Amino acid sequence: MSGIARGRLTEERKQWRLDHPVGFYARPEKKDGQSNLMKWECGIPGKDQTLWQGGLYKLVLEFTEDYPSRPPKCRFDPPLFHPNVYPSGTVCLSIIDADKAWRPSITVKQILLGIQDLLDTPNAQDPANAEAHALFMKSKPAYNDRVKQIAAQYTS
Amino acid sequence: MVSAVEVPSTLGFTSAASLDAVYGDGTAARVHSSRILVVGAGGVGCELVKNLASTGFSHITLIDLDTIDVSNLNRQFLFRKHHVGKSKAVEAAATITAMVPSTEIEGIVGNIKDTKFGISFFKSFNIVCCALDNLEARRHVNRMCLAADVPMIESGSTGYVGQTSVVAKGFECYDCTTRPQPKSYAVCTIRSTPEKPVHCVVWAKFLYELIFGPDDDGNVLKDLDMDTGRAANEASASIPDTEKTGPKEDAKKGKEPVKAPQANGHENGHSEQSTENNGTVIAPKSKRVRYAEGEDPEEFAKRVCELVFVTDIEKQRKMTELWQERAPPLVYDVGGVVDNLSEEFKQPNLSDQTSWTKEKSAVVFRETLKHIASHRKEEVGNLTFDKDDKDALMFVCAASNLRSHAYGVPLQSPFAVKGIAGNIVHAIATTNAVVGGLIVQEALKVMANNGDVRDCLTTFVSKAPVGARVMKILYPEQLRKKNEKCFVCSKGHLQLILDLEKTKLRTVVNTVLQKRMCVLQPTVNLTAGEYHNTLYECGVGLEADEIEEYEQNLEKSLQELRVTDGSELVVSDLAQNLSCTVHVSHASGLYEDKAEWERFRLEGKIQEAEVDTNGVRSEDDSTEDVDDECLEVPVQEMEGSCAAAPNTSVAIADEANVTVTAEGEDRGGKKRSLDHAENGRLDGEPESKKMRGEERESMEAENR
Repeated sequence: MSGIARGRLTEERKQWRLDHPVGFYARPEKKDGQSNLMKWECGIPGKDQTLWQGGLYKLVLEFTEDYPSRPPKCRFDPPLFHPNVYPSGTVCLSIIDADKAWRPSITVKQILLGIQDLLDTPNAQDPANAEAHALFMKSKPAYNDRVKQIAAQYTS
Repeated sequence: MVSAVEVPSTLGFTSAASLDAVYGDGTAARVHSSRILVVGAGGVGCELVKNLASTGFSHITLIDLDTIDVSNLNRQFLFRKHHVGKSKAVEAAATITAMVPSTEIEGIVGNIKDTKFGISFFKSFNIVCCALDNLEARRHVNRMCLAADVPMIESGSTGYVGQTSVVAKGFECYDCTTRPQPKSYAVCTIRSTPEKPVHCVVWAKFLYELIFGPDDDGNVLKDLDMDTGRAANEASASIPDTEKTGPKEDAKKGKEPVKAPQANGHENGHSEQSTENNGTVIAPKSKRVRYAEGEDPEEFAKRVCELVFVTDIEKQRKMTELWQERAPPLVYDVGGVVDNLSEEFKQPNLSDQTSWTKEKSAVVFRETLKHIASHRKEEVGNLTFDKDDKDALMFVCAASNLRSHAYGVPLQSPFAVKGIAGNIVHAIATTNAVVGGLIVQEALKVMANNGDVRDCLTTFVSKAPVGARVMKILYPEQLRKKNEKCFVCSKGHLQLILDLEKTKLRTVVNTVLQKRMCVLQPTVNLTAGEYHNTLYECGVGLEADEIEEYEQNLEKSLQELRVTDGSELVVSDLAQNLSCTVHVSHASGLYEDKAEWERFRLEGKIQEAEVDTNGVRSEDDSTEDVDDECLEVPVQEMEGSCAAAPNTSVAIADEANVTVTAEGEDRGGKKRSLDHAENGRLDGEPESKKMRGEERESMEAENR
């Protein structure tokens, strides 16, 4: 079973190297002279002309042997203040939800672009972080200030 | 292929109706609308694009990285004298446009191995035609076409022989069979016992690079460079003592640090100059045979002549064991030959087809040394042999003839030497024309079957054997099924045997993967039990820290990188869409007598014969190892640029890829390797074109 996940991830790595969006990075974790193809370290830049602009948000993708039938777990590390990000850092997004819109053909690049998109367009129907969700719903100016603060904090 | 496109009644010079009548309805429409890629605009390429355009192929892309040389003109008929120096691809496209204006032909100057020609580039064509002159590029295109799932028509021509074949998924691909082996000579043949002109020419090329090239410890003549001063001493001091010493002992002696009080006692004296002794001939101006900066060219030439043709030959003569069954080499005082040649003689014509005398060789040798030392000073230290560099050729011609004289080998003309040194194979325009025609036949069959290759054939072109009753030159065959063990098209596995403690990753990457397996941009993933690591990646999209790490890895031994006996390396290529598994086995001290980068064995399950002989290889059968060594190293170069000759055209291979197997001082091993080289269809006599043709034939037969 391990063959298919690793083979696919090797191919993902190759495609990413050949072509990836500006400002992003994504690569298998390297630790103690071992590389772990099943765990990728990624960086997502905040989109220009948004509150998130200027920040680089670090994210870990954890793949299982069932990949690509099942999506990777995507977790901001450190956790990010966002209505759709659980306090643990895990991202709540339909395209990476096995029960919702995940399809095996979705690539790492699409996942990361999707999450970048999510930053500025939170989904109020699907809250994952009570505090961020409440602030977003109740006081936009306060929410915006908080986001700007975060963006400044994560400047790359 | 859209059939809705209106097909003109005449395609190129061909009637659409006749195409449909012969190949079936719809063929003309498909020929008209298909996009076809032609890789290579040389001898076959010119014939091919002309044929394609006149047959009605209307969208042709032609790619070649080369420029037109004056020597191409005799058979690459799309070019004229005023095109010399311009791009082959662009000029060929322009000529075709003038000839068949309805053809859309684009000429691209570029290397097909460039990563910008990726899978999607190949996918944009309906057929790819290879008219290439080297194996690396062929193997690359083969992989790209398999990955892009585009039928590829492969071709080659050399002398009277040629072939075309078609590669598609499920059928034999270019990597399914082992390709011709490199020309390989035992070190001792080159160093001590040349028997054929080719041995002397190979030696002369090494000498050229030893004297003028980058400092390279791998040069087989390195000992000439290191020990010269000392050897000279020894030669004059100890002739009687060494009379009975074998070559092994003698060589060793030469390397022992002799603590002589003279100025030549230093081991690494680079360009040490001794100003006191400048009168004597073997005065250690420099310990080395290399040109020392600031040295007087006259002195330098004298010194080299003395060291190479007197001192070294004397040293060789002392190895009496060698001369029991053959004549010992003759000492010839090259420096002392009276220069009574006319100026014209000193600037001989390269296409001169008369053999030189030893006197002429001597004078030319001296003059060339002086000339390079005085006129090309800034290049000294960086020169490598280039068949198109006149000085280099003069040097090699003169030096090899002097060497030939010493060893009783027939002397050669500059034309012949150029042929041997440049790895020139005589190419014949007619063969190119036949091959160019056959390719179009196959292309039409692919068109007729809408991309399917079921009707395609492999065709060999060959001279009819002398005395044959049926005089035929074409030998068609069905396409073969793919080799299930092929690592390119069939997920075949390879076995790599080496010393894990002593072999660096660099050897694996450079020699095993890039040279032997023709992987362009390798990624190496290690799996050893639960342990996974990416040992190496190169190419685009890497971060600075990754590049640094991989550079460091290259210098580490496989053991340091935690590769163990039984580990698996998954090798993939960023460019080629190739992925294969290499199983690693440890063999302590494997081939320690060979050069560092040759100490491995790659057992392809590529070729059945290899696997079959594995079990029964006898201990003393060292020629088998040479075979392994040569396993599919690309060498046979076909249809390259060419030099003008009266009737035949001459294709020069891109690189004279001569590998010398380091057999060390093992006398027995040497003899066997020598036999091997002889059996291996190598020949030194360039004038015997016919012979070469036949060799090629037998070689093709061997490989198919």
